[in-house]
Formats: sequence, C-alpha cells, structure tokens
Amino acid sequence: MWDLLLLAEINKTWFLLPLALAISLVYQASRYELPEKILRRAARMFAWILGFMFAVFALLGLLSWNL
Amino acid sequence: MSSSQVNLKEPWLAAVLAWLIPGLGHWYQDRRFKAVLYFVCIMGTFVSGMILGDGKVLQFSWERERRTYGYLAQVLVGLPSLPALVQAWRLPDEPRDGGWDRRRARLEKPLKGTFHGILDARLSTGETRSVAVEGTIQVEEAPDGGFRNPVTGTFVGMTPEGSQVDLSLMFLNSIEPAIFPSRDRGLSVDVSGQFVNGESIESGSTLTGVVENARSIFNSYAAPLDEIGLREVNGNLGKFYELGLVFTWIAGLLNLLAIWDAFEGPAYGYGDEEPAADGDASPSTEPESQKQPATAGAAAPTTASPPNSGSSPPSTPQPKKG
Repeated sequence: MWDLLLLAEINKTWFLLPLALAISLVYQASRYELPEKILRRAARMFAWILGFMFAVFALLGLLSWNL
Repeated sequence: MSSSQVNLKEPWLAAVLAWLIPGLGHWYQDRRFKAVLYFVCIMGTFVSGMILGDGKVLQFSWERERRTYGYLAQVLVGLPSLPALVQAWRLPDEPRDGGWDRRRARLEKPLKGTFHGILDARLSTGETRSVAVEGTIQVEEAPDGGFRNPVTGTFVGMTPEGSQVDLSLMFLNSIEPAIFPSRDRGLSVDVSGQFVNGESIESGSTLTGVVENARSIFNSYAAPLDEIGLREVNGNLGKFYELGLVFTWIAGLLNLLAIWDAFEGPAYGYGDEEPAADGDASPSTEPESQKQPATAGAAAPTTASPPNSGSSPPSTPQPKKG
C-alpha cells in the first residue's frame, strides 16, 4: 500500500504543479500540431497558472495579515 | 477545426481509440509526439489520482441515494475506468441497506492468510484485555446455526510482547463485502481459546482485523465502497481522497480534449501560421515606418498566406486596395 504517512508530510499545494503542467500540455496539444509550438505555449500557460495562483495566494496572505 | 496538414485517417475510429486509451488514436494517425504526450499526461494524472485515493476513487453507482456523478468524467479515460461498470453489475442484490450490511454478510468461501488486528479478550478471571495480534487465520462457514453466523476455523498468532495466542473461531460478527476496493479483507469474529501461558480466553471475546491479500484484483479494482468503507476512507485519507477524486476527474476531462483532437484535428491550426494570425506574436523588431496601420495590421496578414491556408484560423477580410 502507498505510504500515506509520507504523503501526509507533503503540503497539498505541491500537487498543483504536476497537475498544472499536465493541463497546460494537453490543452495546448489540442490547439496546435507542431511540437515546439505546443511546448512553448504550454510553458507560457504553466507560468501563467502559477503566477495567477501566486497572486491569489499573496492577496489572501495580505488580507489575512495579523488576523 | 480540421487541418489539411494533418492526416486524420478515419476520424471516428481515431476518436474511439483515443477514448479507449489516451494517445492511441493519435498513434493510429501517426501523430506520435501527441500520442506520447497525451498518454503520459492523462494516464499519469489518472494513476496519480488512483494512488492518492488508495485505489478507492474509481467507482460507479447509479442508485438514487449515492450516484457517483464524478464517474461521468472518469469514464472519459476509457478502458482503465470501464471495470467500474462491471463491478457495479456484479454486486449482489442482497443484503443492501444503504450499502451492504456487513453484519448479515456471509463468508462465500473459506478464507486463509496472514491476519493482523486486535483481540478483545475476556479472561476466565473476569478481567478484559485488548491486545494487538498478528498470525495466521483459517476460517470457513459452518452449517447454519440459527440467527447467528457460525464459522469454524483457527487463529494462531503472537502479541507484540511475544506471547502466543491460540484461538478457535465461533461466530462471524461482520465481514467486508467480497467485492470491495481493497486487497485486504476486514472481519470481526467471536473467539475462544487461550494464551500460551495458560490464561483462558472465554467465549464472547472478539478478534477484529484484516486478512491480508484476501481479495483478487478482479474483486477489488474499481469496486464500489459501502457506507462504512466511505467513512473509513475519508477518515484515513482525509483530503488525499478528495485530491485523488479530482485528479481522476481532470484526467477524464483532459482526454475529452484529446478525443476531439483525434476526431477534428488541432483547434487553432497546425501551428506554423503567421504570428499575427494566432496571437503569438513576439516583440517586433521592424522599424515603426514598416508596420501596418493599427486598424488593419492587427487582423490582416503582412505576407502571403501560408501554404496550408485551410489550417489557418479565420481572419478578418483584408481591406480592399484603392
């Protein structure tokens, strides 16, 4: 059985990274055919998702400052 | 949008193959890069979800009280999700009461294997003792003995302190369903016997735990949880169960994009169109004087159309000259 204790040590936010990467790659692969185009656009989308999540995280952190 | 530069072969066949195994439809169309990309990303997400949810996130039920709407997304992954339909069909009609009634469940065949669990022992001195035990169990159903569920069998094991325990099994209190998403099978049984130091264990003592690897993969993969199992999984896995569900749902939804790509081709075109046409323009280095006016330059191509004009996204008609 999977070592759930090991999993429990991992912050669940880190699971966003592979998920966002997979979503970016598959979405862009369904838009274009050329591999380099897919990879370039997927990298941009991945960075955009992370940037957006970080901005939301920062905003929430700011709003909850000293609470 | 269908691209003339992509040979889709038989689109319907490709779409079905892409549904059955992510990437297979694209492999059939000789689009090998996409085939590998789809397979790795979609199956990777699906398998990750299954691992996070300890294999208990894939199930199908369409009973009124417990419909698994999430399966409508999971089924888009294709073959790996289809056994859930078979397991739902294999479920016995009885006993079911918002799930299975484990207290009325019967042992459908003899069970033998490594067991670990807790012995709640009533000693002849009147004292009660609860100890962890691990050993070998052998249990089978006895001829009907009335309202209880009689079994015959033995348990021989050890406590963590090293005391040997010999038990005779008497009545089955409860047992997990035969079809259940776990290789181990939980049960609770009334026992009597003795510790090796001579202390007698009276009837009414209970042995509760799991028999390891008691189920085949056929009886455990994609099998539905009963109400008790669902509570246990939520208690044991917590948020990881929900993460596992979300991962498998997303994997299915991503495969929907792949299926459509196999059927219809890439949505925005081949990818070698003019930058201005697909909105992927890199910062321009040409002098300002050579740029098109803002009103026309944004929509109209600055050069001749690419050879695969059929794959280009529709653009605004060019303004007539003169």
